[in-house]
Amino acid sequence: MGADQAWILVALPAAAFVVLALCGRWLPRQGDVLAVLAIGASLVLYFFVLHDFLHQRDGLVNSHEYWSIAMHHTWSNVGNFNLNFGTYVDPLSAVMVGVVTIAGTLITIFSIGYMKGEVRYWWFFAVLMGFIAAKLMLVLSDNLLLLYFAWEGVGVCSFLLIGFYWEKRSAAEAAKKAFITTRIGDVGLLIGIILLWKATGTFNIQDILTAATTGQIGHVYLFVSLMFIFLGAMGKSALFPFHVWLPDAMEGPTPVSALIHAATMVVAGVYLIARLLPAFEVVPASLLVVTIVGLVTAILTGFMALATTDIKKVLAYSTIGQLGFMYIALGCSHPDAAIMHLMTHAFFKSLLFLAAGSVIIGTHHNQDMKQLGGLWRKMPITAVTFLIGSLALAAVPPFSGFWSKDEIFHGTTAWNGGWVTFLLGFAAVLTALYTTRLFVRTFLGKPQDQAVYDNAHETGPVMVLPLIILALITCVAGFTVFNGVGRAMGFPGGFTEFVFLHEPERFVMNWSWAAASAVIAFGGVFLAGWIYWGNRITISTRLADWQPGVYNMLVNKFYFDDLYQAGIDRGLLGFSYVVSWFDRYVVNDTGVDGVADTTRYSGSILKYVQTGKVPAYALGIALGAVGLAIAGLVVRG
Amino acid sequence: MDGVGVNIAFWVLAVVTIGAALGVMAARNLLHAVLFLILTFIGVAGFFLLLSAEFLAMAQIIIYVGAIAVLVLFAVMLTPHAGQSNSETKMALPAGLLALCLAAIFVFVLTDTDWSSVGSAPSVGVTGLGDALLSTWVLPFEMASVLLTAALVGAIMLTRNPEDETPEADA
Amino acid sequence: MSGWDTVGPQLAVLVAAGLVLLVDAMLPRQRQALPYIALAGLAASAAWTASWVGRDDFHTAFGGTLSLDQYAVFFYFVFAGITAAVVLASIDWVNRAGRSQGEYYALVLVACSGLMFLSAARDLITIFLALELSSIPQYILAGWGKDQKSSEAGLKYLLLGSIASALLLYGMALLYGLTGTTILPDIAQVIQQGGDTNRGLLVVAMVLLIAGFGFKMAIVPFQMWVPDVYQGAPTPVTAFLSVGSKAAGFAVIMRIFFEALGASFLSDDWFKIFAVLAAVSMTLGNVMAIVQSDIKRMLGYSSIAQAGNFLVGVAAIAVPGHEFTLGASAVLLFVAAYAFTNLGAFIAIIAISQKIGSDEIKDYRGMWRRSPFLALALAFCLVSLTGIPPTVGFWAKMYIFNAAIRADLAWLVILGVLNAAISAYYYLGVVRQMFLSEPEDEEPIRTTPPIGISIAVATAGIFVFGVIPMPLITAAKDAVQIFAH
Repeated sequence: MGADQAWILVALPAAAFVVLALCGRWLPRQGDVLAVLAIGASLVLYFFVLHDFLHQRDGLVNSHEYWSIAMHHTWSNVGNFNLNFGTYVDPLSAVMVGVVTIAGTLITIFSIGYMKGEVRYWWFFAVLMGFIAAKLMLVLSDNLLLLYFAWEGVGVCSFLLIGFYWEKRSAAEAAKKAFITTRIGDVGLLIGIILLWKATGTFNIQDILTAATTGQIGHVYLFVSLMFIFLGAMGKSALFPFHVWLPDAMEGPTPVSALIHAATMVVAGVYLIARLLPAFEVVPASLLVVTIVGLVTAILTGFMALATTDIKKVLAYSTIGQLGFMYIALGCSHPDAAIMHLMTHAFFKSLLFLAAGSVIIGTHHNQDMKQLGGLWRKMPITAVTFLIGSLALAAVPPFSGFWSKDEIFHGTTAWNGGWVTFLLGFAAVLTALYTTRLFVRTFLGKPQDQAVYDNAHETGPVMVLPLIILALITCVAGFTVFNGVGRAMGFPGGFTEFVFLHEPERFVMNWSWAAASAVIAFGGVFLAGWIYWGNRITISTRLADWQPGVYNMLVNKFYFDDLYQAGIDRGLLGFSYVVSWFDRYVVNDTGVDGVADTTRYSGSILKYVQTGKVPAYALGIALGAVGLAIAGLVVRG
Repeated sequence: MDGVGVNIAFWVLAVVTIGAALGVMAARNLLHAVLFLILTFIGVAGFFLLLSAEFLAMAQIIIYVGAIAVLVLFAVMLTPHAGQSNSETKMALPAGLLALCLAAIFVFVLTDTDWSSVGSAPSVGVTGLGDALLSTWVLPFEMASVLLTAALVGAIMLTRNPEDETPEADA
Repeated sequence: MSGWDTVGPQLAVLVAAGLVLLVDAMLPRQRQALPYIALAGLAASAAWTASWVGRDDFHTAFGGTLSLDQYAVFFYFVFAGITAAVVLASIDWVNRAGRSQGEYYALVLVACSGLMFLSAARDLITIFLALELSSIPQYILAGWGKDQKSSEAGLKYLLLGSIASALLLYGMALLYGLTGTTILPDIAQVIQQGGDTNRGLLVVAMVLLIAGFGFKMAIVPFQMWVPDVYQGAPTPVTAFLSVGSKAAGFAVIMRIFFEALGASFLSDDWFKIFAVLAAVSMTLGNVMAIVQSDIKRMLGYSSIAQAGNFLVGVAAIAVPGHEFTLGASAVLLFVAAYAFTNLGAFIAIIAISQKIGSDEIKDYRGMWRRSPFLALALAFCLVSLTGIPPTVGFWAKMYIFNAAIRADLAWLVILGVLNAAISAYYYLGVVRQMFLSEPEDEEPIRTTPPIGISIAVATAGIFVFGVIPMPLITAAKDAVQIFAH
């Protein structure tokens, strides 16, 4: 089992998907064992692939050379149009596969406990396997077309997961919203892929990157295609202005699907941009766009998270915000920082979602902060693990979030003037604020609803165990930036020395940056503690009194949903109604209408001719012919 | 074939044929329309004669005037109220304009084109036609016969009253 | 008389048609055997065609009016397959209607032979007769239903079809007048000798041909009959119309382009006209389909949009100075893919509407509960129509757009991709109704074996060729090699 057989990692969950979807219902235990086996085998094989991959590097003369293992088969070809199917393993995809298989295995095991007794139990596991297979194919694909398939596959599976409780109207609506919103981005991605392919004649990612970096594609053309591709990433990652779908997507089975969406699916966009980053770097303007979109997203969702009381939605907003951080890192040409944050975020956000799920189960399906509070005493393990996750999210040292965010801060110096650093700092303060608010209002203070408090209890071991494991990982994952840690694990060095595109970057502890970002984090935490713990919650009510407009704007998520709904209603549907009205009343019914209703067959056939419809159609045909003929003659002239 | 007489005949036939065709469109009474149609057919037969295609002219008269037009006449006369309620449609004006446009295009194209004309008319008699139909053109010929059979079957099927036919009755 | 073996597939079908009529008349008790006689004829036809696969001694016959080549062979298979599916799907329908069963199958078979002739004809007269041979049975079949709407559909189709035929004949007459021949390659020769002088007439003739065939292909602006006729005609017949005559229209227009009117100075006109028609057809068809509430009407408009996709490929062929095989094979691939997909969709609709007695999309609510098989099959076909992998519909769109890009028609491709997104809205809308809504009526829907088999074959085809597209692509590629000279 070597790195060139990496396709097996995809094939296992895909096979499980097929088996479960077709006959999962009739398998013993509805096939959950099969799902766990498939993803577990993928996880085990991943370590073989990784080992082989690292081993192949040893053969290189220059230990700091970029290396990768690619292989492909011909899929179809016509004339000069070849399609290859292949896998591409490099440090970037190796890390991504690791995140997906580890998270996937944990989610699958956790689901056995969480989904117990649900209707369509087998269907959930089938879709879960499909999702993981598509996601693995996405990160392993060596060409943009296959990547696009996987991209759509991920989208379809997430649509099915969000709409899992399709009996619930809000779930069906949320599924539709997610699908349509991401689909807009997907069209952009497809256009971008087509444009790149038009310019280079290949779908192979490395060939395209070579063409872009050697200047074979015009800069304006490249910029336009990359922006289309970025559109796809924005849709999938729920970046501003596509952020509307993710909070609603929390309608899926809690917190499993939430976890899939938050920790796994949305980072597909980050991976895509990181993969194509060398092309982005050719056109600095595109990096600027990525940075700005990341900043706007991070700050905007920070405010929204502060005005939301549903704990899962707060986590959803924080996910979008953290994705914004990753895009900022990408915009600063620091894929290592972005992927590092991606990895740490995957772990601490999984922890937070699972802990939130534990809260929801423990309080009998209560997820509104207004009714929680003081749960510290009732659910100690959940509270402690949640606290660890929160501290990581708020980037408090020494938890993992601190190290990765520190790397991003460090990277922002790429932009002159320090405005990116400043705005990023502001977003980080917001993060610390809403994270602390979330923790304080859920676990500390006085219970807001005595009945809920009295019935609350700690959840069972199946749910608590993953929490503890994830909490431990969250505590230590950040240390992988250190060279010693990385080397001890068998990697060439620290995280930033493993994931790189041009030059590996040796991690150097920069005390002033670390201190500054620690101050920001602590500042945010203390500020929020002062406001929310010190019983100054009324500050938000005061804001509502003082500036109702601002408060409503926050609560209504800046009115983006209403805007989009209006756009779809008035724009697209309006247009088609106008056209159909034209068809119905102008084209069809000139003359006497209602053919079938008014006439009897026994009478004259000629009556049908008299109804006006047929002459109108005939006129249309003749008009078309005459129009074409005139156009043809004029063009010829 | 050349000469003043032929030219005069051509223009007379042209006026009659086109005038009759306009009459088909304009007549409010269906019976009159059919009569105009017969006149058009006869005009076309005249053109065939002018082109020395005597057999085609005769076939045109026998088949179109003799069979088809009579069939149409029967159909019209057997249909109740066929002569009435053929009111003006709103299509008349746009259709007329469109027809003018079409005519303009054809006139332009026909005058614009460098036609390859044959010096003398090919002398294809009935024998030649028969030979051609059963050698080079045997495939279209046979296809036409299949087509007519299918049309016949369909016509019978459509006009048969559904009540007449029950699965048991003809068993 | 030599050469009759070259029309073996058509003869097999026609003999079956005669047999069906005879058995219907002579042995009325054996009526349930009628569809199987028809199927046997189609199988014989396909077997005869199969004996030509891989051979390269192709030739013309009947004084050059017919050409036996890979291109025709490809379409023989397509039409035999389409007709077999239609016959299978008709069995229940015809049994319930109870009348004129022999005539029904006989007319379907005659229409099939017409379609086959159309794909092989290389002479204007033969083309016209083949067109009528396929059309007239279809007019009758469209009016075959007992209800008012069906009669209306049949009559409308007949009247408008006659107008289209008239335009076509006019165009052919102009061509014959100019060149003095009706054989396609001879026409090309005369045109080449004449050069650019008669271009005006040629453009008008070309437009008239496009109008005549465009009616069959259901492209804008010759599409107005489509929704009414699709809605009114018996559903199996609608399936036949939507797939069979459309495919034949494209088959013949491509042959005319390559063999008669593809002269270098004309291809510029072709591609401009086709590109514009493609853009208009796609957009109009899709926009109109969004607001339809009747599923057959919706598929009618969607078939107009799909015709626009076909035209993208045809336009790409015609762009001067580009390799044409890519576009031509893409169109053929699209024909095959569309045949599988649309037939699957229509047959599923037949099965459903037989039970629920309605074609309203809102009555498809919760179909997943009532018949998982039909709901899944229909959903899969709709996904393929949208062009989402892993379906054959994806590859078809992919190759069409690829051909257009190679021909520098990027604007058309971007329009096509946007249209695909619009089409996803209404195709997946049906899927949503079937899967995400509660059924009003829980009664399960049973499928009969013939319908079940035909749907299973269609969806299996969509999936298998969606994963392994190469065999189909190779077949399409080989079929257009005859135009390489």
